[in-house]
Amino acid sequence: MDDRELLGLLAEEAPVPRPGLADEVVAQARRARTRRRWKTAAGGLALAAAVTVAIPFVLYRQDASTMDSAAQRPAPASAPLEDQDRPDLMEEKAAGQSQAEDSSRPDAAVYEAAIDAFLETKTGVAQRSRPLRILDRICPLRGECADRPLDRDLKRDLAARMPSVRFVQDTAALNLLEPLRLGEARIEGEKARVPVSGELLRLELRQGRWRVVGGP
Amino acid sequence: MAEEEAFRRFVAERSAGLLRLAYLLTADRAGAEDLVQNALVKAYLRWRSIESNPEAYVRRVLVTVAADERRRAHRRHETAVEALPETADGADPYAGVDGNVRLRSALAGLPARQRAAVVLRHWVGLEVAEVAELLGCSAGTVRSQTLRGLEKLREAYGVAVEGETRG
Repeated sequence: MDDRELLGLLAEEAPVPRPGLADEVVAQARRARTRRRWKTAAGGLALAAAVTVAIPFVLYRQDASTMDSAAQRPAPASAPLEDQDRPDLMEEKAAGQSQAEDSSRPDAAVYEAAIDAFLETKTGVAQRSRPLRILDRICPLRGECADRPLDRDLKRDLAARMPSVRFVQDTAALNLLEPLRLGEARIEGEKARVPVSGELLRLELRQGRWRVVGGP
Repeated sequence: MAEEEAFRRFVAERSAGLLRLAYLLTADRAGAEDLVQNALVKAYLRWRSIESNPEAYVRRVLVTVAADERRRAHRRHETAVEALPETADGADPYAGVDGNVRLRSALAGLPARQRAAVVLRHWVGLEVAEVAELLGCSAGTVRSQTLRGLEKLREAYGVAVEGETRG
């Protein structure tokens, strides 16, 4: 008896195929295929849900870290030390700086040009790098200043354009300089008039910039 | 539909041979039926890619699962042992009964990979290199495993015959 015959003796004891074997196999395979598809779909849904949850969370974390870094950023170097002790003023300046270029009042540029020209005329040098004090009241060309403060938007825009500016209530002189007194600007097309500390400055818009053409 | 028709035809024509192979690989009737059914399910799911030679694919699945002692033991909650369980008095209850029973016990007592090597080489008729490739071992290992397995089977059958002759 050779080896194949030996094994053949055992193979004869093998079970015979059941009559419905093919049907059972096909049914079992279909169930397996359906399970596999459900698993794939469930996996896809789980992934989509995870992404849906994760994306807002990541964006929120990014926003939070941006805000943190903004909060940790030091105050601008040009801000006077005394301003840093006054959160209200700092807030006003910060708000003003961020909006200065695109949403500033049109008369802010007029005031800025007038103030620059006035200081240069009076002191010989531009004063923008030094603490610049402006009385926070509306002051006519002649007479006493009114009790009304300067317009809030104007102050914000000026603070944005001139970082060293401070709006003060006290008229006392500091380092022999009194605070500037601003009156209401009158703008007519490309010409404007602005009262600054009792002087009426006339300005004109030339090549997109206001320039003083007459005054003290 | 044509694919399913072809698959059903394959099952009808080849399932008997596959069951014999599975039985020799497992030495277990119920295990052989399970093994063939699961292999056929896998074949059905991959029919398009294996249609040219489905038998080779099914045979590979049978051998892979049967030769993996841990997978079968895990699935069937059994633990493989090297020796057959001893009886209460130490005597073999099948000693004088039938050569086939003795042979079956000897086959079941072979390690799974040794059994697979013997069956693939001498029942299926594969070359040593083919068996080695299927089992993932060297040709030398196949030769040695086959030799040892056949020795045990011959010895078991011979003892049974001798016992029968004595009895």
